[in-house]
Amino acid sequence: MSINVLARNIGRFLILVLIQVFIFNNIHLTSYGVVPVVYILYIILLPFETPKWIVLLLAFFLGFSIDIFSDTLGLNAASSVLIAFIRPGLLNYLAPRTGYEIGSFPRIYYQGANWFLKYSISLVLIHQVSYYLLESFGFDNFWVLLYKVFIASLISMILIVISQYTIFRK
Amino acid sequence: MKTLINVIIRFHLVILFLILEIISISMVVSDDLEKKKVVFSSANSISGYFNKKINTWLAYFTLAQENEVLRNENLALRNRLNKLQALSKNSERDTFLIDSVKYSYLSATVVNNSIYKAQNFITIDKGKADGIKIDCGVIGTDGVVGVVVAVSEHYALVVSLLNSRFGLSAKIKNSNHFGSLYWTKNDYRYATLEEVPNHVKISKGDSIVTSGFSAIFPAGIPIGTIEDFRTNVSNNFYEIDVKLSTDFKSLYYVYVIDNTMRDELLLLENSVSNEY
Repeated sequence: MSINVLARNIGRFLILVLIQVFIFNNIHLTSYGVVPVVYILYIILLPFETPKWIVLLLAFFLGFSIDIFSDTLGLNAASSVLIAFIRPGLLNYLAPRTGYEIGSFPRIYYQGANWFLKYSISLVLIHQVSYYLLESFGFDNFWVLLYKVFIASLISMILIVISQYTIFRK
Repeated sequence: MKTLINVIIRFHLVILFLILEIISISMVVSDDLEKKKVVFSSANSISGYFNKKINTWLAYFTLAQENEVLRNENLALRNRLNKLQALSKNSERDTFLIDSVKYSYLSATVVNNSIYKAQNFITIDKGKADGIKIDCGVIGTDGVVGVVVAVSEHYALVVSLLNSRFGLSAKIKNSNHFGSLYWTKNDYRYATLEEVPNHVKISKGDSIVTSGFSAIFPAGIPIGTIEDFRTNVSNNFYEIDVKLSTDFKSLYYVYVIDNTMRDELLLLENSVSNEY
């Protein structure tokens, strides 16, 4: 990883945490106050060749930072570590027959919309299911939980796809 | 030993994953209100600073509404003052003041608030430097809001009434029967009052106020009104739905109550519990 890529990743980490906690955490959708999660874009966008253990550690610190600011100690950390663990297997499963092109990134521009949607929807859904299950611990009923996961994932996906056509075009 | 190292190398990802998950989930499970660390909360100085900045902008949008609320509160307080002045003229003794002298009040502004989670917390812009301590009670214009659980230099973290791990001693205003109030519904407008025996006569619309049994809140601070109730046959207690009087959705100004005699009270209680 060159210095340039490293610096860009650190910057993206900080910016996504700030945007999440100070903007998106204040957006409450539906009567259940579902919050869109955009910070997991960080895990989604990490380069293919990032060592897996680094992805795990980064995901933990990312989730933990979000937790500190939103008083949900451990919730986001646990969910982020889970998707970081699943990510390599998912990438393998979705890989084209010839493998990922060297120098390409997990983005719509390089991999196409179809690939990107499959990839990011899986991660967002797993993250949200884990988050709301852990948060409620049986506090919510099943249908409310499902509804929250659905709305949160839908809005987050819309934002993530928009980011692909605006900020992360290349 | 060699095989152990080989196993660790081979499964290092799974091991790392499990360690991180165990750390995270144990944080979720062991997130006790008593052991809350202020550094790991939204009341830390970085978070507090940014939240305060954002909130000062957002506050402009609700200024008119806030003014209205404060004007109404002023009016109510003025009326009470009149009544009390009349009372004190008529009576020689002023013993009724003793209870209120025990408590001192501080005003604060809410800089971060959540109402939709299972564990909700509020951050206020006053901290250690302003004399706020852990276990101070927090009330709004309309009633109880929560209790301070952690303080940093300039901010404090308040556990909201809307937190499934928080319970509050409450009583029915008319009959003085008391019970415990919990947040069980995941709806920011309602809480549940339990442990009121079902021989007590209650009706919809009765006021629920603080009992004053804890050293946190003075007695008689409004919590809400009875919306509905059921009798639980198995344990002879009511299950009462309480409509909260505080509108947590538009909380902005709050008052922090410090019981100046808390230390003395706790000392007394502890000395008794140590002896028996």
